[in-house]
Amino acid sequence: MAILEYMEEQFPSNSIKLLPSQPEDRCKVREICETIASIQALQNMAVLRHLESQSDALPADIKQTWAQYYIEKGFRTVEKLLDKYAGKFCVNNEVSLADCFLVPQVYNAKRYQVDLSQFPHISKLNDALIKIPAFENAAPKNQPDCPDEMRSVV
Amino acid sequence: LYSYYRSSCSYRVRIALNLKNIEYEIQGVNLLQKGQLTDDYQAINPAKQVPSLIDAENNQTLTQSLVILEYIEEMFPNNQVKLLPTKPQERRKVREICETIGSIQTLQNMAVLLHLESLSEALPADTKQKWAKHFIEKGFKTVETLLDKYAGKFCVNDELSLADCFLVPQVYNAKRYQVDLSQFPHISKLNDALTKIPAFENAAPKNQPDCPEEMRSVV
Repeated sequence: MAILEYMEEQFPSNSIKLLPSQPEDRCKVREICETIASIQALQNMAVLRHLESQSDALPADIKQTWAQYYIEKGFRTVEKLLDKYAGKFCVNNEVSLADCFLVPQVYNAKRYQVDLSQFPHISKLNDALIKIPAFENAAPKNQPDCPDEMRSVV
Repeated sequence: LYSYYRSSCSYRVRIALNLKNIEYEIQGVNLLQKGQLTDDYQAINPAKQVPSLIDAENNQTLTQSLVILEYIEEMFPNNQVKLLPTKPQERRKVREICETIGSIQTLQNMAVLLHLESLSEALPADTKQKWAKHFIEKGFKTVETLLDKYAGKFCVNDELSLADCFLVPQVYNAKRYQVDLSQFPHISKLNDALTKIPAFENAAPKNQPDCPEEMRSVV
């Protein structure tokens, strides 16, 4: 988030504004970003591995269950926020930092087999956003450090 | 301000409001009695968390502590102190510290600890304590490195900022989970200086209207 706010401050007029001008709309964008950031903080691989290491008594699927739990919990909040705030994009009708946060989190959700049909706003926005070249080019399978054998699976 | 006396996220906002000399009314939300789960509160905060800020004059309902702090700074840039520097490079440093501390709290808050504990009866009795300590120490190692690079009189250079508002409540949490702060000299020294400032002191858990009498001497 610190990087994105910096980029927006350094390049406010490049192509598109990723933060609205009005304080109340900026709050909405940041609120979605922070909500999604909290999801990721709880379901990243380092946390899952630390969880698994807690006890041999934990079920074999504990990483998956934990990740799913926190993604679903967080997405229920995001869905409510989008219900209030979304237009063509996460907040009103302009692309913002919130859209930059949403797509990668949906990617994570799919990785942990979260059923996205529970989240119609999230699903619909994600479907629209990933068609945009800037989002497509940023996808994991299109990265220079993506191993060849992973390109068709990620 | 919907706040719980012991919530470090609420504490951050109390500090900032005090520093900016903004008058506010505390609405205590008792997390132990699931006050955050009422329908009324959910309508204010869909994530069912504290803090939430109602700015009645501007008809705004705000959630997420960093969002609230950025809003306060944008709405009241000239009140008393600037809590974000002017230059983007310096603002980035402040936000970096805030986000790092935010991630610590996300991993060690009571809801997560209780969820962890509920996973299995075979988990040791001290699992919550050890988990909280692990993530606070891990995060504080990063914060210490950042402070080594950025700190002057305060977290970033010589002016108070949002980073200081984040630091003190996280140190409060660290003490609660018996983290040995002597490993973190920058954090310790800054916290000692900051907690003496009245705006910080007045925001402390023990000084909150919703702090139970019997807790005043222990929190």
